[in-house]
Amino acid sequence: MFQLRLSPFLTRTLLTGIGALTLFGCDPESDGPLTGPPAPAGNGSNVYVVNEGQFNTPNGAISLFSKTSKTVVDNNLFTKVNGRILGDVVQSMTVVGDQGYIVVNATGKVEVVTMADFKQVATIDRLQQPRYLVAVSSSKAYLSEWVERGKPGRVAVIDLRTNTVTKSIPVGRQPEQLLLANGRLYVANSDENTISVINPTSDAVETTIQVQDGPSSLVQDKNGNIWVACAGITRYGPAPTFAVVSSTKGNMIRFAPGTPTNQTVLPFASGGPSNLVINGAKDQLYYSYGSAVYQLNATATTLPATPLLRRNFYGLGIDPQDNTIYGSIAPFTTTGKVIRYQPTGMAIDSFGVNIGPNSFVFY
Amino acid sequence: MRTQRFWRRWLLAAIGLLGGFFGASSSQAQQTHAVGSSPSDSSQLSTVQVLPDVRVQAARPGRFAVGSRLTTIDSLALTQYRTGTLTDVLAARTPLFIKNYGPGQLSSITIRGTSARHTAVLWNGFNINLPSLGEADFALLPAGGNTRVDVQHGPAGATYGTGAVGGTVLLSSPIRWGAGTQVSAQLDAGQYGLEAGSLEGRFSNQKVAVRTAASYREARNDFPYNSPEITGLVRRRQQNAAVRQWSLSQDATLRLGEHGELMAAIWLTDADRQLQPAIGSGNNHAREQDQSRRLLAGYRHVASGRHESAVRVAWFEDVIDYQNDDLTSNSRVRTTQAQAEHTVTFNSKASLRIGGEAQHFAAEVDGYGKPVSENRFSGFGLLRYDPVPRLQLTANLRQAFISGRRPPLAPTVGAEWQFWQTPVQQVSLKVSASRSYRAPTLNERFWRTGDPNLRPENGIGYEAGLRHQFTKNAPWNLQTELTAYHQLVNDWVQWLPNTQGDYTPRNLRQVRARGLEASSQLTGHWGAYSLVARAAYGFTESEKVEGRAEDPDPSGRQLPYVPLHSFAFTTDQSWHKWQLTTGLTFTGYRYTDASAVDFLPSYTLLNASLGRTLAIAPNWAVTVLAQGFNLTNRDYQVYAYRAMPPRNAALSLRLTWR
Repeated sequence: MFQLRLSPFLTRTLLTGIGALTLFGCDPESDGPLTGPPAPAGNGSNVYVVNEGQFNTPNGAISLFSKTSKTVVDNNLFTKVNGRILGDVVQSMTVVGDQGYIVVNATGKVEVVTMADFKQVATIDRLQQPRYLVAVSSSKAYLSEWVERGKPGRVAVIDLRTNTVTKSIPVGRQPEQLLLANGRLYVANSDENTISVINPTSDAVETTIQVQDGPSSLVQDKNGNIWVACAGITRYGPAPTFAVVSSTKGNMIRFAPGTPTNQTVLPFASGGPSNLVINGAKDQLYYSYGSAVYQLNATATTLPATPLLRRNFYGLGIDPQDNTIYGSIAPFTTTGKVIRYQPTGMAIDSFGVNIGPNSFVFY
Repeated sequence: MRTQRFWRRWLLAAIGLLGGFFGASSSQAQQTHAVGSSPSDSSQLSTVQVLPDVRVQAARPGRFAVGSRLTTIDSLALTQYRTGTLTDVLAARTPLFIKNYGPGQLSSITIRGTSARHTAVLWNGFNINLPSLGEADFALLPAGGNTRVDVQHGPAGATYGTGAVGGTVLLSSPIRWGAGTQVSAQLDAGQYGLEAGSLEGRFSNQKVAVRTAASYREARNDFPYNSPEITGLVRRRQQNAAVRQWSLSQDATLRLGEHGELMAAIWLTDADRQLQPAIGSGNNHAREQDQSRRLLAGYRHVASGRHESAVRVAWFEDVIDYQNDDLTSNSRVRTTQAQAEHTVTFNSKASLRIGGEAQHFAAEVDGYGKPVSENRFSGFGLLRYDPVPRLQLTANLRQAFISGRRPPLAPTVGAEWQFWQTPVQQVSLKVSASRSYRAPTLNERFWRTGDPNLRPENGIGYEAGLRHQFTKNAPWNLQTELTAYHQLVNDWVQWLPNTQGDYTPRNLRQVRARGLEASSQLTGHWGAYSLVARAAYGFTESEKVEGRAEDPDPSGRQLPYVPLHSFAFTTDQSWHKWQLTTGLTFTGYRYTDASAVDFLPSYTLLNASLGRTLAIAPNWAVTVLAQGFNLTNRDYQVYAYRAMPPRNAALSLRLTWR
């Protein structure tokens, strides 16, 4: 009896419910896979933006910006092409030959892709807090690894033919950027005041150069001099509030590879520099300091007093072809953006990227 | 354009749902029966279970929440989750979205498009949100700790105080006097290392009521999940996700003579959890221990039929200890608080409650660098007036004072009007308007990068709804409710990096939440068969509508982790000694970032349990219960990159004595 009475109600409810779900329940459409190669390779018209993503969240991504069309081709290129996530804290990307090496810090791996179409080639995993990769030849590269906070880091020797780690070289604490200059590999130990110098023939540390506290980024100018941005070291308590226990100031350092102890030290009044990059002609250096970007001539003997750009960038890049300056804003709660400037400091345009843009690869 | 679309959807849904239910009821019109039992509207909350003598009768705060929407989960429904947590209960039985980082992991609620900080959680009238975070982790609240859960939707700052912006969750254990002794024990065993147990004993006569409930739960949570890797989808086992927790609650109420009632309650909860890492992230061996101690004592005095006074004092201690490979962070907050109120019932039509509340927080939180304390006070007046039996009105007011700052005056007005009535059905119109506020949390004020001068958030919300009730003495009745709401929250706090790169909280935004809630519940008995079926749907649009230049998040996008659509359909069925419970929930896609670019796909989950009760001796019974979760084996994520278990099962054995 109740069946008869209830069925119109049930039918209507179910129909309404199903109707409502069909009407409302559709997810937004995802873009399909990219058709064809994402980018013509190697003529310098493409800018790959490294987006860290949020910490503890594997949403790091590579954005591809086309200089030709002045548009973002894709904001999650690796995932779009390969159908899987890239990883947690994408720290850096290096091109070696026609392959890209994407270093994923918190996941502890390097993803290898072909630059022609960004298709995955290999994963080098079981790394511990990898940071930066530099190739010494087409078959051999070095990768800095922090390993663990407060403990010595290491440099992994990678066989690019097999994409495997063949050797680990102990260096100082928190090794950051690597620079290949005059047949030696310079490793900036950022939690110390040293640079480890590795001989690529023996794959061993040959000497350790003492610099100032907190070396993190380094470049070589057209005269062969090595410049090191030392950010200073601020030590915090082990627990929140992470109160400042000690703090040292930053310095810009220049030395010739042959006479590493003969250093020009340009001190900063407070805090320290970061994001040291050099232009294509290797005669102008750029760095972030305070909430601004400064330009430094490779022959300078003092630091510039006035900034080139009064803007706080998380990442900084210089296009080697035309010296266009790329600065990135990284709010981390949402997607970031990149602003482009002429070498004079005049803004050109801006474009949206993914979460936490920290550096640029021009290829 | 956006607005038009919103209202079109609203109308479509409203017409569809009402059409269904009204049509059904009109086909019943020829049935002539006396009006059934009284409508169980929110005013019914005010009546305690049937009292043999009405000498002491508590007026629950719901009495003053006329015109708003309430979802109640009673002891019968809660019993099925007695070894689980409120996350399990709310996620399975309501369309509320609980942002869950994995089984047993951090679970934060969102009601009506707001965040977890905008939901007040009250235990016996006291706010138990963690004072440091300003929100509750529902995975730390075992379902067996209390016997009743009421979810009040929408702002109610005057009635429930700070944080009652999106909604309020009320936990309580109403007393049944003269019920004698009942004891029950349950053991659960399930996949992925689930072991749980619970024990509950109740006793009451006409003078004393005592209830003790203890529960324990542990799970390895080493379930398999699919990890996308270079070789394709790799089946991996979840690591670092084991949880272990227990809860003990003790309530006692003693009647003192004809006019007095003394009550005390203790609720202790303890959890030790590994924190489940994201798929594709390294395991940094994060672990958290949570401990809450809650003590409460109160006295209620009914001077005559007209005057009732109550005082309550409570002391809470909340400990959160977190460690991972790189850091430790410990936090302990002690809250001492008191409430006093006096209710005057002028006649059968009007009653007035006035009262006040004082809270003292003493916090030792690593992130603050030093011990801090904060005092909060508030005073309130709640008026209920029923000019005619079919019309109920309330007008409430609360003013809070927070360490020298004064959040805005929070008034609420509400009305319910039963405007149409036939012998078998009634339709009521409900409206309410409310100002709500949220005091800054201790973290927002005292964290090293916090801002002591942060302004309280405040919201203004309106809602209107219809309730239809189809009542027959037998065999069934049907209740349907439809609500539309609109709320603006101002000075919404957002943590953003400052020029030094430190994250600091700021009053940056205005957020607008609006939507629609529809629910329908059918209750019936046919011979040995009984059925309670409930369908509920929520449409929630919540977006930032105004911000300041510093806020990089764009305006006009749906807030992250607020599903536009959610739906729940549950049934509780019994036939002779058999019982079957089913739960079907649909959760629409959720954006995972403020720019509304990435989203998690929608998912539908089906859970069911089948039980059989056997009488093994006089007064003794055993129930065997088989529970199945995620029966369609859906691969889904509630929070981005956090794996959830595939289809899994548990077996329960329950022993009851009475």
